[in-house]
Amino acid sequence: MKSWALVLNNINAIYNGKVIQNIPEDLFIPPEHLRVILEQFEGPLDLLLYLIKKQNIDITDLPILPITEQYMAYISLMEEMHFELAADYLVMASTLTEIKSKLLLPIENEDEEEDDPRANLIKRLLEYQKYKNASEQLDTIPRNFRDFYVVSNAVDTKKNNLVEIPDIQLNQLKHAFLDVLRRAEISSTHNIKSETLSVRERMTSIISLLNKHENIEFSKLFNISEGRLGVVVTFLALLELVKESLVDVIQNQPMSKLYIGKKI
Amino acid sequence: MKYSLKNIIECILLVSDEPLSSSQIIKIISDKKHTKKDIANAINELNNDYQNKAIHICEVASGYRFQAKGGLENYIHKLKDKGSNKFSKAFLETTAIIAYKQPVTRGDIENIRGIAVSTNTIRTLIELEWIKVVGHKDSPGKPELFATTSKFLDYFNKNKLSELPEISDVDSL
Repeated sequence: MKSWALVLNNINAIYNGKVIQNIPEDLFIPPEHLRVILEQFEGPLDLLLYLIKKQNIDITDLPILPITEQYMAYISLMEEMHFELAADYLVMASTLTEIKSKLLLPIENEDEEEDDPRANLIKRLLEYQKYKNASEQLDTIPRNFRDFYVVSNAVDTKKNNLVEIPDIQLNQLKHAFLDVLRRAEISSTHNIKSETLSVRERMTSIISLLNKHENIEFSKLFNISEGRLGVVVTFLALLELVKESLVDVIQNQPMSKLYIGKKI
Repeated sequence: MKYSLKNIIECILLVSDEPLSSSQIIKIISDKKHTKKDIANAINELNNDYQNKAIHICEVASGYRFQAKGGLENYIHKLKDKGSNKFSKAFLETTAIIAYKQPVTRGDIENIRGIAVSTNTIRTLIELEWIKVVGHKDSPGKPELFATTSKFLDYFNKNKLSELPEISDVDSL
């Protein structure tokens, strides 16, 4: 619980417009609210900078011990809150501990001027502060749709919202339409009419044709104008004739034309 | 009817979705006679004509575009609700590092910020076309090098990177 106290001392709570420096001990702060405060840090360097500024510490003479203690307090608080602790925070914790331990070790060789172990951390902190300032400045630069407004629809047009208009030829459209018509025809309901063409009748007409010509090319038997039904009837008639051994189907070689001949 | 250079420029700037540079304008007009200076003069004349109007032509990194003059915010915001125009700190810091330290790798950004850069931030920046990959660093993993684009400058109404506010080294806090 010690960690809590440390942390709370560093937070300026504002309640009804008044800054509350000393938080009453019995004050219950819902965990979600503290989480909001903790989430405001943009990483370990940001947290460190916050701690340093809070303490009015001269960064060039960074007192590692108090800073490390406070840093650890925050981290343990974050853990207590089941805050998903980024590994970067732990790396910083170990860096701080390492610096502290180096500071404690006696310098063996006085001549060998060793760098201040804090130097690198201070450099990083200052570098981060530089870009933090830059980002704050960036935020104040006039920007589109906050401080000025571009005339034209450019602002709203996102590339991926643009629908590419496909290039269609007029006859492609025609084909598509015919295709739809054909499908509509297939799915349309059929009125059953009495059979206008009978297979038997067609068988007879084929035989009579064959009486006139010795043989007839297969395709010539079909009369396209009779439509699909007529074609089917003719085909069935042919099959029937073949089955009854009344006609011969002749083909000279594979894939060549079929001829229908009269059975001799 | 024959239109003057001024009229043509006015029209194409209004119709265009993006800012147009003077060389783009010359290309569109496809008349070699006109120089960049002619274009600049025509735009000056146009802005004179627009003196008493609510819009005018501004020059940004990608070229010229029409912008609303100040004082119309209330009306425009009622027209288009663009939601919040706030950027997160993470987003701003990442953008600032890329803008001021470009070309940078993701690792460089992480070193400065001391925390992992979220993939989302980079993705958003690339989708906004504010940054682009300009190459790969010759170090292990060949990381991508990011730099800002002219769209980024357009957004902030700037012509050049050097027009961004200067930043100085920080010596103390």
